[in-house]
Amino acid sequence: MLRFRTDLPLDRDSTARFLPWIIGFMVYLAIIAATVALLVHHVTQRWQRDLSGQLTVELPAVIDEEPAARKQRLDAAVEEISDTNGVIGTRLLDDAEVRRLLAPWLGDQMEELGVALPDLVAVSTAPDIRPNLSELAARLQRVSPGAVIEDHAQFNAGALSFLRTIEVMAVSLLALVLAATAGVVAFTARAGLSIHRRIVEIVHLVGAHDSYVARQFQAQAFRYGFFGAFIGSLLATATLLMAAVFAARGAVPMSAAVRTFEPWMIWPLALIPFAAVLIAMITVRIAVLTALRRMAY
Amino acid sequence: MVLFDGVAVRYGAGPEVLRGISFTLAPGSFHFLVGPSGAGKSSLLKLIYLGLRPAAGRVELFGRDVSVLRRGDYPAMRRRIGVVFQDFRLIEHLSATDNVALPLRIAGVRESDIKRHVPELLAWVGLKHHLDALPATLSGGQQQRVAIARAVISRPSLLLADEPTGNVDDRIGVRLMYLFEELNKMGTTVVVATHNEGLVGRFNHRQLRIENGTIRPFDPTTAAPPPDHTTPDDTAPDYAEAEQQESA
Repeated sequence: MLRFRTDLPLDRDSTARFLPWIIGFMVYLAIIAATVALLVHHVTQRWQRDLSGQLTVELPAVIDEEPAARKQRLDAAVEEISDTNGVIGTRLLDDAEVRRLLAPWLGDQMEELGVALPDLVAVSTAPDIRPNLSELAARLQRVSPGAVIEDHAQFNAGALSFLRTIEVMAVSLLALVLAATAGVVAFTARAGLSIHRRIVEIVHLVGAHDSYVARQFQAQAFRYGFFGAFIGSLLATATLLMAAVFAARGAVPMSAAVRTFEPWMIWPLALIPFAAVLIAMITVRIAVLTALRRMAY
Repeated sequence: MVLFDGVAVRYGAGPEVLRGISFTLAPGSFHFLVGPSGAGKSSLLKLIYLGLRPAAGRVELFGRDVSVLRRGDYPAMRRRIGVVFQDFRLIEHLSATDNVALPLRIAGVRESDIKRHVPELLAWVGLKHHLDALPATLSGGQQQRVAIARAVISRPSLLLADEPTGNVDDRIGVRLMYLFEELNKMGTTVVVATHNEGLVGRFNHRQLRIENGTIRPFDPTTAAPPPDHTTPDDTAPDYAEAEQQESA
């Protein structure tokens, strides 16, 4: 570990002995929590971007309908949709696309089931104008009875709310971990000040400012914080790499989310160990200076 | 240099241990602070080195009223005062060199200067063979000399010694007094608190006598001539010899 000359034998304190490991554990937790928060935030944004402004209109098949009549019904339905205020685009999905979308529920051999597949229209809506869906549904009933409008926004709202809850929890955990780190460091500094009260008095009596004493504690916080942050970062990196490997095989929960990890996310995560060291040093300084002001010397 | 005017000291809500203390210490003077154990000598020294605030009265140090000093002003004042404590107050895990270097390092003196001055001073007090020794490995007299070296390394204007001979035998005690006289000759104002009347009697300096919580100045120079510092001093301490004797 890095060594500096200090007047206070802080390294001999039993209370400080576990500090690097505690900081290491905290940094580990902080990086994992921050990764979860980043991934969930990223997924939420992407999901919102991809699915907002999207509707799907399902037009049930009509038994024994002639192809010409079917085409006429579908054209009429698409025209009704396109004429709706707020709709900026429609696309009638071809049979292959419909089969692919339904495959997870009906399987690849859906013809053998004898199920009449519905026709699906993908609808894009303007971001600032919300179409009157109940009015559109009524008009569609006239040209294609049984038509159903699936508003993705309604489904999204629940899912996004869930994802945002996870994100808030992860950010809260991150804040809690950093606060706990600060608390542990402050406690250790105060304990050290109490243990070395006699030496602190001596250095004061030979002309030391409070900041001189605080710097000695800061130097210790820097060394322990640096060591702990290094260990914590190393373990967190190993954990994330393992998660990435398992996610590639789809073997961990939220594999899809883990797979969305992008290189830019490394930078905010890389700041966490440095932030932990900085927090430790600032906390120590504040704790020591506050305690020294209460001392007679 | 130091002015006390009607000063009183009280610990917590207890009775006044010192009251009505008034005196002045002129620059370059040498005073004994005399009185029985528990008379309040250490409390009076604490007032001077800013380890205690007076309950009443006015204390002036280097021309400044200490009652208006802020906490941030203390270090600069304390750097002008060297203190030798009865219990030495050396830092146990630091070597003799590092203990003596402490005030310099705190004052931000360059390490090259520290490496030059500290061994010189330790040699001057007869400890040139103990530069790297930890306090626990030194005798009482040697520890006391390390403490004195630490007190004078930054050339203070005022040197306070609290029972400096309390933990050493008379022979070493007399040598320490010679050392204080040498520092005084160099211009340092010296105050030595002691209850050793025999030691005080051997040196002809002004006395501040504490009795019943108050102070009574006493000038032995009116009764006896002051010591002649101009004559060759065959009584000056030979620390090299002392060190050899102690090591033996």
